[in-house]
Amino acid sequence: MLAETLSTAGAWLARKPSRLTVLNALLLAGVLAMIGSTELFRFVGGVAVVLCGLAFAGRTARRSMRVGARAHPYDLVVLWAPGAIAIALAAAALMLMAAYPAGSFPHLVGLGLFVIEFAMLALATGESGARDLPAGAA
Amino acid sequence: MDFPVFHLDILGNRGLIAVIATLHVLVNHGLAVGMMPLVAAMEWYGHRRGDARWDRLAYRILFVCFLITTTVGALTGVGIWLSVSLVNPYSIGSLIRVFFWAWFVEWLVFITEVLLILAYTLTWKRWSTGAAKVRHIRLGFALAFFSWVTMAIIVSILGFMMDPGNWLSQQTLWSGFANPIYLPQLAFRTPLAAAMAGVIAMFLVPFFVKREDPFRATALRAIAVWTLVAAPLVLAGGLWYFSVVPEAMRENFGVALASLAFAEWQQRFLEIAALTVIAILVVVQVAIARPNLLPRVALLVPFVAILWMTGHFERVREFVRKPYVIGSYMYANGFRVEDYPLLQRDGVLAYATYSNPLTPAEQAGLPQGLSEAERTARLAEIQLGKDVFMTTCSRCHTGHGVNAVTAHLKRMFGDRPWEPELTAGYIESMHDAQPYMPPFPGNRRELKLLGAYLHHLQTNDAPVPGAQQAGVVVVTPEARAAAATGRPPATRAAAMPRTSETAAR
Ligand code: HEC
Repeated sequence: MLAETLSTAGAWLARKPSRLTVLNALLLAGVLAMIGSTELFRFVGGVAVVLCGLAFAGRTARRSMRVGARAHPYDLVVLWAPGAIAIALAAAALMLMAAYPAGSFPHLVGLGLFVIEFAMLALATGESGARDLPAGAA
Repeated sequence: MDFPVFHLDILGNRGLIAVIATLHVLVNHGLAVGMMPLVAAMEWYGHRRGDARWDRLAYRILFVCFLITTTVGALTGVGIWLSVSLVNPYSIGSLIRVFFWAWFVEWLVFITEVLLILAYTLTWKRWSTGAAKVRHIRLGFALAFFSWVTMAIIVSILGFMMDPGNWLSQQTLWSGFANPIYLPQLAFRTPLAAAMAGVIAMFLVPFFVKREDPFRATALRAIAVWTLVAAPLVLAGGLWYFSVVPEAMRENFGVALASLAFAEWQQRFLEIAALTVIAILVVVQVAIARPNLLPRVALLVPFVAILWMTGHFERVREFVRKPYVIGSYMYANGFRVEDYPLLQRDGVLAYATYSNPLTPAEQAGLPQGLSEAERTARLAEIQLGKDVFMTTCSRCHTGHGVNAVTAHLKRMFGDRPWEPELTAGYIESMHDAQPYMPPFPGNRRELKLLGAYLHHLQTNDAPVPGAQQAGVVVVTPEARAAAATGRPPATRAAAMPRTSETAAR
């Protein structure tokens, strides 16, 4: 029974790699939230965002070069926006969490925002390794 | 005091203006100023790429805007000035004197805008190819430009009301137009309109493009980029705007107004602005990265957030202006600052053209056991007190509705009798106690009359009717003389003789 559930869940996760990425981001934020230290959250979360952000920026920069002169500014915005917004908002979320005591409403908003944005950043970073522009960004 | 007092005793006069004005701002910013350039840009982009899907989407969005702006938008636009003229004809009178030519140009621009949106919508199908299409696209951008100009003129008047700047000494149209609040507020409203339009357009896309159609993702992504460009400018414009407002307040109102209330508002507003920008950014981000995953309800979040922020923005704008309706020039009760010494010497009743007759319901609640003469004298006093209330307080307070003066008194003095001595002491210094209220404009005798009226309101909760319900009575020279000496006139009829054309309905 349990094994069966686990294997279905595993198959569901494996069907799209993005699902695993989101799960990992959720787990990291969940563990950090459970430890309950805002300093630790800010430090580890910050390092994770910086590392992920660097990877995103490096890959996306390479991709922008590859499309080079052919690229319309619009296409470049579409390439950069998801990750760039994610970095900015994840940073804002960490600041929000640091500015308000744990358990308060703005702190929780910050936590929620961080989870979403960290997942978005991880996704954007994963996709930035792909060869082509995202579908539809013609 | 040359006009009868229009008054709404439940909603409050400010409530009437607020409802109409907020609705108008939302329609004007979201569907006209911000949306017309977006629609024209979509049409242009579709034409350049030879992609008819953009054309279809742009037309459908335009049609929605056309319906709403030419009905709700135009009506509320006129409605603002109509309601403001009713509630505070003196401030509108001043504004028209100062901004006459600006308003005249505004009228021309507005007519042009209406003609352009008619032409743009109605020729869309006919001018669809070749040179005609190019002409049509130009029409769209011209419409966008004129929509913006109508806003750009009115924003100057709004800024002027907050802080007339050099106009106070120079008194020229130009010095009033170029008031210190003008450009920052325009710099805030312009990207706000663009962002609002983007958010609304994203909300509309799923109605016009089917889920299976890959164009839905393309359109959402492109409109999201439009919104993304506007969002940081909203924040920057908002910060600029807020950097000029407190400065103007310090100049105008002195240290007194740097009170907690304003500090809270400012903090609150900045938080709301930040939250709105975050909400917009999250939706924009998903719309770009995963347009297919974006549920329609998620598109409601930034929409509601931006409406919420705009509503708060208008409230703050109204709040910081108090106690003035035109900064440092005219108080919200309609009296000019420079007339105060005269009014405080002679009293406001000495210059009143009309009296606001008490209705039978308002006359109830007098103490038991008064002789007929005492009753008459008491009612005459209450009548004069009501006239003082109507001219000096009723622009901001109702008797028993929103921001009711009775609710404030109850909170302050509870159930003990609101003796005139008790309330008059507060009212005399109300401007120092609450700087957003103007100083009491009348003289000492009127303070007592007002006190007597407020005392009466403690035992009478009949609605206080405006001139539109109870009519007005022309104040005769004899009645005015009697009021000035404080000697109650012999009969009630002498105190308020009714002339045929002004008798109560
Ligand atoms: C410019 C508009 C304006 C005018 C004119 C005005 N008020 Fe007020 N008044 C306000 C506002 C705004 C408040 C605060 C409302 C709140 O706190 O919710 C207020 C509060 C009050 C309070 C409660 C004060 C406190 O300390 O809590 C009293 C009493 C009051 N007004 C009486 C009057 C009387 C009497 C007049 C006429 C002589 C008058 N007001 C004229 C705007 C005005």
